[in-house]
Amino acid sequence: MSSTAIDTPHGHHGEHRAGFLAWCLRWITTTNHKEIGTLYLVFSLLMLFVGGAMALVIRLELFQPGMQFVDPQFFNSMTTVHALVMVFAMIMPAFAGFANWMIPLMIGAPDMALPRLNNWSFWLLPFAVMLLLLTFFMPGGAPAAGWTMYPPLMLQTPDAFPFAIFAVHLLGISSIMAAINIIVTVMNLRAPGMALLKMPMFVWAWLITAYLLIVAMPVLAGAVTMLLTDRFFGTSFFSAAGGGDPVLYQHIFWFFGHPEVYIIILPAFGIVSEVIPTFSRKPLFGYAAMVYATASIAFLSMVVWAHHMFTAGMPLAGQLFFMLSTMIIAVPTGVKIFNWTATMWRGSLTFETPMLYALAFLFLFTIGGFSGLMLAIAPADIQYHDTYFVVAHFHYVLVPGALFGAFAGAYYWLPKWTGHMYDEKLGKLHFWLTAIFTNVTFFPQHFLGLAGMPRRIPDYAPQFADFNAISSIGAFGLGLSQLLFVYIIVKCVRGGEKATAQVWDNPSGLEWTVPSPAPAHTFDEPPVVK
Amino acid sequence: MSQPKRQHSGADQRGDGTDAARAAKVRRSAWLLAGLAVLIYAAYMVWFMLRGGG
Repeated sequence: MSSTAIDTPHGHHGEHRAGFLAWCLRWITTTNHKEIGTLYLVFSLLMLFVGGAMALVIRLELFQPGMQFVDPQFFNSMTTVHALVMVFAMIMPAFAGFANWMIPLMIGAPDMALPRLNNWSFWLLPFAVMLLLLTFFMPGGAPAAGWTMYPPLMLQTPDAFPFAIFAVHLLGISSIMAAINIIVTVMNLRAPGMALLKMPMFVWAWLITAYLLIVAMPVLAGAVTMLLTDRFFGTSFFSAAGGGDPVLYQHIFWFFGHPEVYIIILPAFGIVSEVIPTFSRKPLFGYAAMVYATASIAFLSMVVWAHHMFTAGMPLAGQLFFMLSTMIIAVPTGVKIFNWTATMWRGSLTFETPMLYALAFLFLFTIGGFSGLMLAIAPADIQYHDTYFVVAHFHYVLVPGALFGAFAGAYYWLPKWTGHMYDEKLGKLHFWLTAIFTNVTFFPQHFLGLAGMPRRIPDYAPQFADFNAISSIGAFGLGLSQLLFVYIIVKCVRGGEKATAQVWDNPSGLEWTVPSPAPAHTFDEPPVVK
Repeated sequence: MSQPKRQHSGADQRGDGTDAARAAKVRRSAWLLAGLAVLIYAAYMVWFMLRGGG
């Protein structure tokens, strides 16, 4: 390509530029669900490294006690923006990418119901993230009040404040539009014969997630809009001096924030529900129970928010309600864990990379679930609150939970997307490195928290040094291991063993009836579902 | 210049006779969900303003 350009510089340069512009324009204007799915997935992978780099700055500073590399304000900006990027720009877009690629294929639809809205949903994301990241270069730096953006601290953010708020608004609008598209696609474009209770679990998980998004995201948007008006328009929603209440913000934020946890984890549940039956060579055990359990988790997630606020002060009846409602979530979650286990029971198991990730998900997410139950106990939470125990808990939910679910899905469907099998040996190496370093990073944080180390601090007492050093070593190992994931994907895209339409040993679902790679247009004629 | 090709939404790509009805239902559902989102967004703020906080 380059040699041709050198041989005949003028003409070919022009053609080259025109070709490049056309290529760019195609990706900017595409309305094809598969291409938009790819855009989401590539973007989320990029954001994994952006957010991951911030995590490594945090772990570098915490490697030893004392102040080493960054000042406390920048450290707080790192924790804040790391979380915002990982939640809104990495893991949510990753699952939106899976939804875009797979939902139309799984329900036998030719595309998403609203393709142009789909394009817009994606293209809001890069601009929102740019807006957020550029705040690092503003006077006073990026927001440093934590991803929860609690007032009055958040209101003290210098110039970056309105930009961060606008970025959150854009990210929310993008999510809501994606959710609308998914709901109307699933409800209107299913192939004839595909009743709701015949849909794949991944589609069910996303349908329920999409409803959660519609209810939860506007609440976050309302909360940050009120922050904006408090700062610039003289309102006092959260200012005690003006008759408002800063604790009100915490209620509103967590009314969004707890469902958000399930918005992140339910699609991962859906992926695991696809992977485990395929590699167990058995249908999913208790399909209907899995659907009802998912819906129950989504409903319960709306009534537990104040368990994040036990230390903010609350009547005893409130503490009891939020403690017990939180514990009740363990019931439908247990139904899912036991049903996945029952699916494997006496199955003909094989342990390809997607299955390894699904199994690790099962073990490690359960650890995160149990530490969540510990945190739900109101009197005990007063001890754990704002310590590294909480950091360990939610990272066990989000990394081996959501991220491992995404890795399982990526390896499971990569051959369908690219038409090539990925390198299984490298995939397994990636799995073991990721699984080991995840535990090395986050397990010691339980001990740090129980010993009393507060979260969101750049320096700590010397007695916490050993576990912090182990955690930092794990974090760098975890970060570097993800470069292998990029290599595996690039290698798979560029070539490798040809994938068949079925890819795996007799998997179930309409997506396995189309060739690999899936052609640009599928199901122009609706498939027959019996 | 040639006429721009009409872009079809996912809801009316199949040409099976029910396209228009289905596309209308899709649009109606989408607007309904968007309206719900906007309602939740606005209702919160109005509610808190009426409580006297704002």
